[in-house]
Amino acid sequence: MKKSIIGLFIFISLLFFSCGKDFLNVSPKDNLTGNNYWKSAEDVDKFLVGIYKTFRLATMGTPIGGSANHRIFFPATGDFRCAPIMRTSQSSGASRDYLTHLRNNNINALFSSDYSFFGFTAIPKWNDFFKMVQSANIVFFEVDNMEEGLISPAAKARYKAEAVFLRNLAYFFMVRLYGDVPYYTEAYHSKAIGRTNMITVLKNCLADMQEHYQNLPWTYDDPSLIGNRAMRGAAIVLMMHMNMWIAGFTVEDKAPYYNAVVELGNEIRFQNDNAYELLPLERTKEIFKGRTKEGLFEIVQSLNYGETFSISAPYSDYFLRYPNKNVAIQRSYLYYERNFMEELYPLGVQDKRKEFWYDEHIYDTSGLMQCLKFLNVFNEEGEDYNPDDNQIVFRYVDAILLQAEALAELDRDAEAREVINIVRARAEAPLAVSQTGDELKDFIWWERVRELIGEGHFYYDLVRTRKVINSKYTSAAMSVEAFNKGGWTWPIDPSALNNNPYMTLNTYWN
Amino acid sequence: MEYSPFKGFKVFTTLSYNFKIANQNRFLPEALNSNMTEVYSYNDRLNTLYNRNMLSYTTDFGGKHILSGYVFNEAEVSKFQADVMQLTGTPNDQFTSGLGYATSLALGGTLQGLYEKRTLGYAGNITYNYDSKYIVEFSYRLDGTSTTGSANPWSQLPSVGARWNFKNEGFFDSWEFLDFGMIRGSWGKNIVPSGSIYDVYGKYTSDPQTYNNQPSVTLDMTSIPNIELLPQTTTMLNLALEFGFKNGLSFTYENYYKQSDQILRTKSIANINAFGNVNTNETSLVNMGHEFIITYRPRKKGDFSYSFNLNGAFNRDYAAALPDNVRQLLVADNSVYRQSILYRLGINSLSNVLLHYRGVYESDDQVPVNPLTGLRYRVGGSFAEERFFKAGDPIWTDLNGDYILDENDLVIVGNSQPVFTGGFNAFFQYKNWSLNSQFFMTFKRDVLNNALADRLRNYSSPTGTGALVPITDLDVWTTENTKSYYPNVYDFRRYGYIDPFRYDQTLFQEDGSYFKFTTATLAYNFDRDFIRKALGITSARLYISANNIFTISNYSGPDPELVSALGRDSSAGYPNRRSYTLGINVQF
Repeated sequence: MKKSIIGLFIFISLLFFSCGKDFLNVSPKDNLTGNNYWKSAEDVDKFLVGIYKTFRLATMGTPIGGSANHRIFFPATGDFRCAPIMRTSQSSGASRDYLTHLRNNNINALFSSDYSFFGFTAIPKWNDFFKMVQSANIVFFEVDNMEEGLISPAAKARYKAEAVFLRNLAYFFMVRLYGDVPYYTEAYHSKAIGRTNMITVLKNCLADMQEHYQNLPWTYDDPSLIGNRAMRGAAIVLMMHMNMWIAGFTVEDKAPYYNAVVELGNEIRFQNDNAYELLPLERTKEIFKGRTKEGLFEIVQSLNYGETFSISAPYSDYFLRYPNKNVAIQRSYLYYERNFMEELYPLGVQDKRKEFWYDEHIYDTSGLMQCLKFLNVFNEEGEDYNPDDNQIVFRYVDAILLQAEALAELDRDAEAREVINIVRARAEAPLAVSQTGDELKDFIWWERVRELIGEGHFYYDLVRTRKVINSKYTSAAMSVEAFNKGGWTWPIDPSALNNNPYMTLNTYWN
Repeated sequence: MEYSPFKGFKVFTTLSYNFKIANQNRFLPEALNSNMTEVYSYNDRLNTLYNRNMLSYTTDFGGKHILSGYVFNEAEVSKFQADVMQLTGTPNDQFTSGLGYATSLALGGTLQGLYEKRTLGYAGNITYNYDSKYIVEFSYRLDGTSTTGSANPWSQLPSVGARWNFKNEGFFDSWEFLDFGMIRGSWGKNIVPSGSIYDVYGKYTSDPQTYNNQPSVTLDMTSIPNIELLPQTTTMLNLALEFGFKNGLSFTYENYYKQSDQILRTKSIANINAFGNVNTNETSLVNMGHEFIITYRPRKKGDFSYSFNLNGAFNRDYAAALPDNVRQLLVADNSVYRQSILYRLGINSLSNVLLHYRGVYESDDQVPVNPLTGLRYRVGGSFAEERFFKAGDPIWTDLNGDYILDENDLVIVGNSQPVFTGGFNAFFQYKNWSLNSQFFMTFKRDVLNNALADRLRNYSSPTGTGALVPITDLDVWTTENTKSYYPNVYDFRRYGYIDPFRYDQTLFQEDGSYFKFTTATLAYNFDRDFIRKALGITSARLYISANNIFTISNYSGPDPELVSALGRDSSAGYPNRRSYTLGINVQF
């Protein structure tokens, strides 16, 4: 009897004497906490997918959540600002005045009226881009601190490289929008810091990318991931863009940056393991639907998955009409000035892009003009849906054009002609043969405008090449004074000043 | 269970398991629920497992030395979950179970408040006692809980105490009148992990939308996870003197110093960090004060006995450290009251921030004019004519001298925490009758009289819903009575511009000191032997008591007791009621 009592004692006592800290680790059923996260490759993957989603929200918005999630990001910041766009009878109402303000670079007017339906108020807010930065920093930090053996060292390196790509993508977008921006790479950063000079930011970004980009795969075996998860080609073209931006603004020697672009261009063209190629223009619909060998980085949209962009996000919304839109919209909202289109497509000169991307109304100024680049329209007649294309951020042809531009800037004209002729040859347009110097640079410029129209590059190219102050390239040229004072930037929302004594805003627009 | 293997040594163990379930089913017929029947079914379960194991040992040696000690550990696991099912629209009132046609209106799932908690504690104590004269005690306790999931979830409580019963010393033998006397002191530290598991590791949520048809997880960006969150530490030092006389009079005096370090505070951060807040441990507060108790309880003589007890505490608190090493911190009140609180190093931690009220402009000529612009003193904002002060408006000090009244003119005044609180208790007994009365007092406390402010503010909208209580008892400005204490109440047209009765001004800050006769109870105890024999009842007691009997105070609001912890009148205009209770207690 006594023995059994002692036995029972020991049993009950041992029940709780033996446990310690692990006993206190509870996994809540209703939420995930950090001490139970970061345990598998899947955890890392899901978190990274969340960052791509933040990028999609920042740039393309979502139809869910009302007008707060509307975005006109790529058209407003890339395609329409300072562009020779003209309104038609379809867009003559005052509610479309923002198009004129964009064309005239009248940013103050843009914010003095309520165009909230198009999500302009979201552009000065950098919160989502910094959410990408902070989240990417957290992935980088947490993957480094994962226990040994949970994921392979190769996977670790790839995830870190993906995080690095995403944070630098965010920084690059912010630099192009706001100029100088605060820069940090620590995880769980909580300090108040001021803005860093944008050239320093981009140099830091390049050093960061340089260290990690080779850990990214050229492409993926899973076709659904091609173009929409970070690939080495996407990292390379991002680095080319950063170099070109520095070269455009730096007061020091520009040659090292152009040389870097040429080197990166060679790497993506000759070492890509057949991952990338230019598709024939007959396959235009495939190119812009996405996930092809031509796409380097895209933002996913798919009606099938129930993932669509905000209604005001796509460029194609402005250059389509019935029968590609519903019957009420008989005119496109916009057309390009006739002399601009004639500059791009001189009359009587052969170019397959003219055939595949436009119809017979290419020079029309009454609203019949359409841009048919983005035309994966799956709606029935009478429905009002935008085309179901991915948003192309970087395309292989972009890297080729940048390399040609850098070669021309380095006065390596023969090589530049050879590279630009890759793009010309695909369009079966007359090749560059004898152009040199400024003539060649102009040739490459107009080729870049022609090829990348509607993909959010036009304004940024004008800014980084300073062509925005030259009325030869834009019908709404900026004064040199305005440019130097930051007239090319977007305003920064004053909420950035909260809890941050080091912060300054962009004073040109207020 | 208890077991003693040898003398002085004991082993205890306790194990308990509780399981609680609750069910609720409800049916609402069509007539009661706008023509839609409703079936509602709720169930919850709570289970708790508790275990405690203890070893204790007591020994004495040499006759005068007693040494005792114990160690124990305890653990508790508890889980709770509540589920609900609600179905709207069964075919008709006869169907009272889960059969509905309006399935799109059906609700159900697990309610918020689901939890699983675990706690674990270890404790030890050693006491040494020499001849009941010198007593020294050491104790240590370690507690861990699953809700404070910091890298180290343990809270620690070391403490040391010593006591000297000086009355037992030989040289006090001659002090016959002294009943007992001792000096005691203790030092203790209390280290408690602060914040929840989410504060430390962050909350990861599964997103509702996919990307490329793949699920994603994002970190909740409300608050930044902080792995280095430090536990809150409280250090307490106190020294006390206690002595009592043979005639029943005893005194206790205690002096204490309490320092709370690493207090958890939420701080908003810059938007470049994507997160909204960070939890920091940078705040420290110090409390110090004196407490005393005087008791007089003479030996019972005959049928009459009585006792008195007076106690009081002087308390002062100071802010000792604030986040980011700032010297002061304004916690802005963005509600309609705008009664912000300022923390400033070195002074009382909770100060009011108010406009300084100095009276009423008797005439328009009294309003100061800016010599530079020729404009009269005015309220900040647009240049509306109504904003310029005139006769009948309040005089608020223009602190920065810019002839514009705005937030730059706020001053730091007052202390919402009382300096002295105390109580007095008297008890009388004569035969079967007893009378017990209690008094309570608070001295030196600044109260913001929001009740009066509301009463005056109601006049801003004569046609509004606010009750217009007569204000004839108040000295209010009118054209006949220009030397008044309160500003003009009837100028409702300019009210929106001037806001004369704004809550954040010294006009409504008053001294909230009071002395209150809180309760008195007169009772009669029936003679036990008598009622047991006569009625078969063990005991019976008849009593009458009164509550909230009277208050002595200069405070003009309804009741100085109805004040929030931050010194704001919370009475909503009505005083505490006085109540009388007549009762009988019977025990069978």
